[in-house]
Amino acid sequence: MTKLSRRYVLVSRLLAASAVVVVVALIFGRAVVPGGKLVVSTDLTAPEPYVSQPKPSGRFVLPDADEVATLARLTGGPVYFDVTPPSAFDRVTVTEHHTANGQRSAAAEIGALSSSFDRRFQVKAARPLGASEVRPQEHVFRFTDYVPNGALRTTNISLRGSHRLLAYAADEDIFFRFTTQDMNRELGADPVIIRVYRGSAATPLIESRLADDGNAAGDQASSELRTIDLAWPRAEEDVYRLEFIASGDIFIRALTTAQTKFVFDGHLYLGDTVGYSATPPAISLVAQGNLYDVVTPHAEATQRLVVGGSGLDIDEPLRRYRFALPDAEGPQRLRSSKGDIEMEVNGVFALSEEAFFNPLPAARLINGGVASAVAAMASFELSELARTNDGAYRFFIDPKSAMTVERIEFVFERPMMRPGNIFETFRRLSSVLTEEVFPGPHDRWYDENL
Amino acid sequence: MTAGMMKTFNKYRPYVADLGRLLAATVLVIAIIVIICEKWRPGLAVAVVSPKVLVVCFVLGLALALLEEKRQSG
Repeated sequence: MTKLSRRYVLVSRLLAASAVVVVVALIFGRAVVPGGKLVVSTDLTAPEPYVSQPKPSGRFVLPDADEVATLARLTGGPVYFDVTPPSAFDRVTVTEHHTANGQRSAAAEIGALSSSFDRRFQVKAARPLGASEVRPQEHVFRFTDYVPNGALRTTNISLRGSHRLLAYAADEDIFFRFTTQDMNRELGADPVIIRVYRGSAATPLIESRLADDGNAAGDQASSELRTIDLAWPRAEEDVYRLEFIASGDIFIRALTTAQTKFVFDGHLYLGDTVGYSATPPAISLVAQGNLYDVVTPHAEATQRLVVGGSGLDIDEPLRRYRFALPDAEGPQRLRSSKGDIEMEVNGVFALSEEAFFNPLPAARLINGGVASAVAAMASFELSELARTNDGAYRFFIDPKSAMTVERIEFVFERPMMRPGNIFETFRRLSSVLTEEVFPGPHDRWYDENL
Repeated sequence: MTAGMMKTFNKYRPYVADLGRLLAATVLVIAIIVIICEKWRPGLAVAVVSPKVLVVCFVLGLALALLEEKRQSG
């Protein structure tokens, strides 16, 4: 074998290493986004960086290869998109362009996932391009005659998976104890995380964790009852938000608290009692709201749900029923004869009349329930949005009628990289790399019934 | 091909084979980086390096290296 010259070896290896370094540098540059503005655009017809194909597939039609038209058509809504920017940004603006009867007009509704564990979407007041956005005023709730009690009370109830509670406290200790059971129905570890936030703050005051029971298999071997406590001393007067984050394998079997006023914010999943109790008990609650979405996962739990004087027959498992009570005002009695039902309402659920209060603004927008508006774009603060289990931001576009899409743009923004904020820019990249993904419920986002 | 040309070609043959190996190895390293980046953020790396170009370069490099190996062993 002929010996290669030293100079050739040196130069060729250097060139090869340089090629790798250049590629890494270019990718790094794209991930850092030094300009502070990342535009992700899709016309739905071809895969684009950072954005998923829209789902569910039954709500849009792609152009055929032999068709004259080259644009996709939305035939129903909402249509969901997952977008995963490469580093952290402050704000995103979603813009949708479509053609209708040859004229350019705007979309109907645009929403963004704001809670990953109860599928809540934030729907901004949609506006035509160029109009200024009116931000809603901060809503402050106060009791005029609230007296702290402090005594611990335990409620036995079977709740499944993640829940968000709102509790009132005034110069008193906040204390919650959840007695949980891991039913191990699905493969994977099932830790529990509880966080308490004051008002609408994005940063929690305190966090508590309970590790998996040690059985990560999906063998349906239920664990012993285990408790997780959360305490925050001398809480100033305000509404506190408590997030109980867990997978659908985790059941709350009892709830002990010192708070006299606490409610479940818009979502309550009454769990089944399989593997815990032989007889499913009838459950009586209090709810306030006039739009309900309910679904039961099991055929054994088909039942009649009674809210106030109205009843809803749930005849099929896994079918999402929606019913409206346009005249409902104030708290209503809600009765489930068997439990095992997941419920959402544009208001709150309470375990008793004593615990009931409703600190939410009167005009509550939930799961796309926004008043009709002509929309072209909507902006969201990313700190107010949640991520999916895959780390993506999830958006939906809900056309009022079938429409042809020109393009959908997601513009992520943050301050441009300058000498003074270089480290901050790099921190935004590293925060994405090291961020924690929380367990969520089983992914049923794209159900045709939703 | 004249005898002179053949002589020159044979002189640089080992360099061609080495370049082939180096090209294949470099492309392999870049491909691994691209795959990791794509797993993390789909679309991030393929916008910088085309997968088609990577495949062509890898096949070219491998072909050059293997042909030379075969000649030497033959």
